[in-house]
Amino acid sequence: MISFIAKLVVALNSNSRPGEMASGIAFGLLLAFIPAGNLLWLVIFIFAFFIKHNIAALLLSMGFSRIFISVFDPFLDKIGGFFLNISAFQDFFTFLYNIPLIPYSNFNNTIVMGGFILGILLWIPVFILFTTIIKIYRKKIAPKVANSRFVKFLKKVPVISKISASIQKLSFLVS
Amino acid sequence: MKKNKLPGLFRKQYKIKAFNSKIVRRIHIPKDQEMIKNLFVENSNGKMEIIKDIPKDVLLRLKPLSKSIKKNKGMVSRWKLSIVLVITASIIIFNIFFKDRLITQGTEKALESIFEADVEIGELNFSLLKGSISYNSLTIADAENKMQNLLETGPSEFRIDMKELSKKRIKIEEMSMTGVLLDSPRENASVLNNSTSPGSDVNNEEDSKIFEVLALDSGEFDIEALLEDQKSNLTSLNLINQGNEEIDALTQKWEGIYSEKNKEIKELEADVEELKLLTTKNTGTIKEGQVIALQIKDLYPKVTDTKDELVTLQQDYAEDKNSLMNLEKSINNAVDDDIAYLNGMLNLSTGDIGSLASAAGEKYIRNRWNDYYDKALKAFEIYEKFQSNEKKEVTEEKIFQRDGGRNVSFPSPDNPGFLIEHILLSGGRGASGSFTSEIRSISNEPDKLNDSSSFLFDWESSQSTIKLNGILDMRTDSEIPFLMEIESPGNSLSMEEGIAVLNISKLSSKVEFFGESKTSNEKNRVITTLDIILTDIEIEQDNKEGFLSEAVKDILSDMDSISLKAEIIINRSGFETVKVVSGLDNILSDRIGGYIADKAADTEKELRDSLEEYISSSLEENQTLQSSLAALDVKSLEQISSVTDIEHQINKLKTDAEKKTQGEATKLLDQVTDKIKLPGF
Repeated sequence: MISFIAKLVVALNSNSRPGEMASGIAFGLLLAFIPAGNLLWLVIFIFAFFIKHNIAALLLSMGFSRIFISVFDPFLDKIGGFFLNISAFQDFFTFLYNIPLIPYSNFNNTIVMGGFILGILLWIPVFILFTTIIKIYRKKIAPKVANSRFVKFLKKVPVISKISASIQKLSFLVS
Repeated sequence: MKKNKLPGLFRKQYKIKAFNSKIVRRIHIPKDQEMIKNLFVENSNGKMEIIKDIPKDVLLRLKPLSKSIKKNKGMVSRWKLSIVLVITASIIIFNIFFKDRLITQGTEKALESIFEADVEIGELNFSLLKGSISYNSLTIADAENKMQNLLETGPSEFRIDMKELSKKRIKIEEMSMTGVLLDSPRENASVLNNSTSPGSDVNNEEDSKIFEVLALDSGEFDIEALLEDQKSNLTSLNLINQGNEEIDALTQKWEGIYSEKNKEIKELEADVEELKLLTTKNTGTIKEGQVIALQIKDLYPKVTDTKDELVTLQQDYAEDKNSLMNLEKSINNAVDDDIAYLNGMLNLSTGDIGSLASAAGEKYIRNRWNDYYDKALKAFEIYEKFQSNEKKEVTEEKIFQRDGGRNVSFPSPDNPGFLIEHILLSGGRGASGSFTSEIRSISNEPDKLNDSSSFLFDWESSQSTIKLNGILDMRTDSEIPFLMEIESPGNSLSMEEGIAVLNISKLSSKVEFFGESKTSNEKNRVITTLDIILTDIEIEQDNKEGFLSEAVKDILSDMDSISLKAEIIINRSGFETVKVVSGLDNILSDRIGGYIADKAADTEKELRDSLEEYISSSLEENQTLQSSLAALDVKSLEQISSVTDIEHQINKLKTDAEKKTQGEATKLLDQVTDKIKLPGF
């Protein structure tokens, strides 16, 4: 866990694209919204794995989101149910349903469809939001934070110093 | 000391556009971006080139920056691609070397969790491209009997439609299983299996009981033993014993009461004697008269009270006595009831032997069909185990459990989610015979099928053949969910126990069965109608003498065949009813019925005599007790008579005393009249 957080901090302060982290977080949220155990989830996971973005951000985002995501299930069920029952899309869904392998995606399940739609809809705002936040952080906050007394004090705390050591180790590896 | 070199990326010259896209845009730390912009200057060729005098600390920062710029190139990482290559290579290696072994282990584990017993699969081969699974052997142990296999098969193959599988529908085009055996002994249990199982003894016992009931020859009965055995159930005997106890108690009670009363009467008699003595001595004085009058006045109410009490007691006694004196009638009725009850125990026929052949037929059908029924139940049990396991998985709890959601159905080619198009089974071995079976269209969504499921089953052994051809229509609008034609032409019947009632010690014949099974209107029962024809009947008789033996032999030798019609109703718990009707019953009834009726009447008479003798001692005791009770009647009357006599005696004494006293009183009155002269007289 510390290693994951350390990787995230390293990425946040390294010369990685802000979009890489933002895309990791957005994909993590998307994968959390869609119930696992179907082809759709697997395909998105593999796609997310191959895209160049921060895996630590993806896994942390997915892990944290999964804890509370079940609260949204009734809402996802409604969204999915509504979408799957739109008469204009019936022919398309029927066509999709009869394509080999597609039925394994469980797209006809209301929660899967609801999670997919909400995940996709939130993907771009989440991506933009986190890209902006990271840019602002790197431009304005990071230099101030690095030199602040508070951070210097924190580095003396054993746990924080451990994280700091991990960061330095990883920074060395990255560089 | 290692000299710090300028990274290659920064040694190159770039056009302004390329410098921005390849270098500047790939730096995402504003401070570093600013630094690089300051380090590069436009040269005479119009290209961007790094300055020559770079400070040492800046040079140190350029090395990692160069790496991170290279890293920010492109959308896909090379190392991730290498992972894909490793996975692909692993799949190929797995497919070649480990696939079958792992699938075998996985399938064994899965089946073991379903059946909760050992499962062994021999030489499994799975081909994803061909869509086929085959194995050499499969054994599933019976969880309830570890000495047996629930199912055993030989070489088997499943051909799966991969196109349908890609659409999440399982369609097994052909499933062929050979060497199928249900309830076969496990290899390590074969020695134990050779010994006779306790269950078979129970069955033999039950069989023999059926024929005991049919036995009618009274010579075979031990009536005395039967009476002794049924002693507690004989109403007459119980009634007599109970009556005797009551009479005895009543006699003792009334003897006590009358003995008390006797004492009272004796006392009264003594008082009367004393009074008599006084009366004799009475000289006629007023004083003596007064004493006698006082004694009479004292004694008389006692006598009348005693008399009244005796009359009341006599009435009570009469009531008690009458209630017990009706016992005799009840005993006679109870004897008749006991005879009827004992008749029932012996199943004494009245000559109507209408159910004799039918009963034998019923027994044969139950024995024969029970085996098939058990096997059908086993097959159903296997199916149910699969079903229950599916349910178990659904209820399994998980952390962060999410809602299941709803599945919206879309029109798809009307293919069911699970379909086995064709099943070929063959199996059986040894004396039990062999079978082949062909089943078509088994599905979890029968409504999506154009046709109902059908099956053809052939069984052949040295003793019997059977062919079952039927349909299983589980579609919601089906009128007949189950219909099956039965043909079983070449069977040999051997009744080693014979039919004792007909003096047949052994019967053998050929039997043919024809009929059909179908679901009843309520759909929860299966009704089977069967025509059973017995030909080439041969019998053996231990006792060839006598009317019965000869009659049976004549009848059977005259008949080419015997026909029976059976109706069997089966539900989930087994045989509901088995009704068998036979023409042979009428023939037997006509020819042998009279003989058997006479025999039955003789037996009944013998039974009645024995019963009467058996209860005679109790009856004798009953009569003695009744006499004792009746004797009390005389005693009661005698006591009343005695008290009446005492009453008369007192009245007489009273009259005598009055007379004597009256004479003296008159005399005294005259004397008084003479001495006292009243004025005017």
